[in-house]
Amino acid sequence: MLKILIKKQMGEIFRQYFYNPKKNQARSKMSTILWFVFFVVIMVGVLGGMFTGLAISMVSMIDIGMAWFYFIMLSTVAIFLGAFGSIFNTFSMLYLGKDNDLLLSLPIRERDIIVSRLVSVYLLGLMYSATVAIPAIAVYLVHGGFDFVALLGGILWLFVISIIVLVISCLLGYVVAKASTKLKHKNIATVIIALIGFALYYVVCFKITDIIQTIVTNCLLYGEDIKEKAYAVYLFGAMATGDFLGMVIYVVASLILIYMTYVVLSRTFIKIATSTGVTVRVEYKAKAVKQKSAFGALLGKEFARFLGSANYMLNCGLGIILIPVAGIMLLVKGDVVRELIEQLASGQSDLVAVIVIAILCYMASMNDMVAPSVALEGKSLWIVRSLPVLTIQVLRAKIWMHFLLTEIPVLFTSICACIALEMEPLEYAFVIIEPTIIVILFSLFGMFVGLQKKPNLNWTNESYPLKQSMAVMLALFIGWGYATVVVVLYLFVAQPIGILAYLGIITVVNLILIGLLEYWLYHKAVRLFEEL
Amino acid sequence: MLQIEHLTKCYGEKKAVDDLSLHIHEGEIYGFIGHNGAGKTTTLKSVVGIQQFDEGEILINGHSVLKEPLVCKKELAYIPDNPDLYEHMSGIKYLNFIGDVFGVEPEVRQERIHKYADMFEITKDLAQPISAYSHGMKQKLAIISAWIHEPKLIIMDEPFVGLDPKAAHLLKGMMRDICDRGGAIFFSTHVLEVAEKLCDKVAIIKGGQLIKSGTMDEVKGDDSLEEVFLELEDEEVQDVKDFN
Repeated sequence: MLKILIKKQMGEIFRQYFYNPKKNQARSKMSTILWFVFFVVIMVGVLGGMFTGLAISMVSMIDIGMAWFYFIMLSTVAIFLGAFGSIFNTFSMLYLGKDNDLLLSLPIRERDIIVSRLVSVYLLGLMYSATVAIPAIAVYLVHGGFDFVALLGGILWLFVISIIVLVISCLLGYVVAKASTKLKHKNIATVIIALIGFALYYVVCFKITDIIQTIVTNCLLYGEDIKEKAYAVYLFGAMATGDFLGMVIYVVASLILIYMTYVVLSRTFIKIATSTGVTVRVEYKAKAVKQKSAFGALLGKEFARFLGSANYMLNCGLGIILIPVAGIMLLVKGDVVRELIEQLASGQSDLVAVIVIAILCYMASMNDMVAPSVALEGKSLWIVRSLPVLTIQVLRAKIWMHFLLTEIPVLFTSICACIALEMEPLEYAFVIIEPTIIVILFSLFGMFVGLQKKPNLNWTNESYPLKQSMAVMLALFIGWGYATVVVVLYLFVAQPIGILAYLGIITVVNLILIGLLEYWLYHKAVRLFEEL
Repeated sequence: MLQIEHLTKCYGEKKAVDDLSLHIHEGEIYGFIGHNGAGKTTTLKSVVGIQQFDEGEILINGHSVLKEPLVCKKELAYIPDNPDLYEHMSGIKYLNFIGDVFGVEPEVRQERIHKYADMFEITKDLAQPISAYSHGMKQKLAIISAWIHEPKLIIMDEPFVGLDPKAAHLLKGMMRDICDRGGAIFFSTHVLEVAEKLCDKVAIIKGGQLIKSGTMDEVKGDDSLEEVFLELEDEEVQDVKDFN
């Protein structure tokens, strides 16, 4: 039974890899393999590449015999990333399956339901942790010379990290679950708690270079202290270098941790999974209503959908908070930011505008609410399909929701950048106009990736279209990639033509892309939506 | 009011609806019965314009569902077999959303909402999120939203499922009332007693094909609708046995 449940869970998570919704049939083995390869390339290429760079920057620790400390440092990053990547979905993945009632009514052991869901949480955490851990192991083996015992130690180290991530995720998921049965305004509370978490995350990220630099410089000193006062921590890092004692202790400890997690979950699972929580009893009182247009009603519906789900807000709308925070930072700490940007621009004043636009582009792509918006219609799709509205209006409402929620913060931060940074008059114009054009482009592109890969409307958990959908991942990573291209292209190819000409060309290219996506929207997207 | 002409819909090789023609006139409550998978829901969804079909034509008050979908959709309301509504909205927000889309004036809308919500005894719950509603409450909300713009044609897929006896009784009255005012109802049901008592006309579909239709008397004669339906089903079973 457990095998069947795991297969079902995996089938939902990786549905797109095995099933071709366009042809309504299973993919060929080759096609499935290619999809997985593509996924691996994205994860390894983007995140893995970033962490390979981080590992390489720390190889001096290996050279001076402090490889165990090198692994401790990277463990922290891997655990942080793994837990952070899966924490917001653990609650819904463990407890909020729409098939809870069905599964609990069937002659299935509760244990099997819990384990199958734990496997999903584990794999998600492992995926994030591995993007740090695998490059760390590879860099260590390449730099320090290949050693089979060290390879085994590295694999066990990754295993232990993934278990720690699982335990942290489950623990926090459990806290969220308990809180959600008591809190009255769950969505808002979840978002506030998450934002505090994000704030901490970004403070750490902002300071990570300094922290790493300080630790690397003083690693001998800190290392001695750790060895002396926290031998268990030393063993954790030593395990990855092939230390036998470390391997045994941590593998055994991990197995005990898994068992304890299972025991806690199994004792509380049914109570939490079947709890409806506290519902604020608000009695209806008639109020005057304002007539909205059909499009206004559709747009209102999209906003209500976004604000009605903490999961949606956290997974797809972080930019709404982070972009204006960046703008305020520019105003308050303008000198520091200016210095930072000038450092990045290496004294080339023409680069400032490109960097500002690229940063805004990067942050704008953190808003991906349009990408899963069609899939999120789920089984309620019949409503908009049966109403007297044009399909293009339905799609436009989703695009506008994304555009408004992204453009307002982007415009604010663009203006802040113009106030805080010194640029040429025309560069100011580009810093205002170009990010707006990019937001329009990303709004349309989000719809493109969300609809072109026929969305799954039969999800049993909202996390699947939000977190595990290819559409959201593509919207995010391609947005980031685009931001990088904007800078790299100027630095290595277009600098001779000058900043204004370059930004002019970028604008024209973006407008052409918008034109193409608009054409697609009117001619193909409407048909695709009507065929769902 | 509603003309379905030679409707054919295939899912791959399988014909879900095969050359089905039906005419529903003003003032008629038209029942649509058939076993599971007979093609009832596919037909209803095609009429509403949420399901594309392969052949045939559907006209609502002379307007083609294919060519003038918006004109047709303004004339009708649809209640699906499972009331999957927007769970993140409150009941009142959902009703206002529907009212806005259909352009129902706020005063008129409020009057209708109160009228029907009071009838179904869910007025106090309208501020609650739909996710907190029971199946029956969602069904009642779906019914109110269908009636909010007073459509001329109402398409319903198993509308009585999940309703308590009082609500089912109210719904029957509302259906008759719409027809008395010149509207029409086309609905599917498995509850043959309800169909027999409520419908002016009935159509029986089997394997995607219309096998019998007409006024209740024409279809059932002196027998009960259940007897006629089961007899028609048995014929199929007998045909299979003879073939074997």
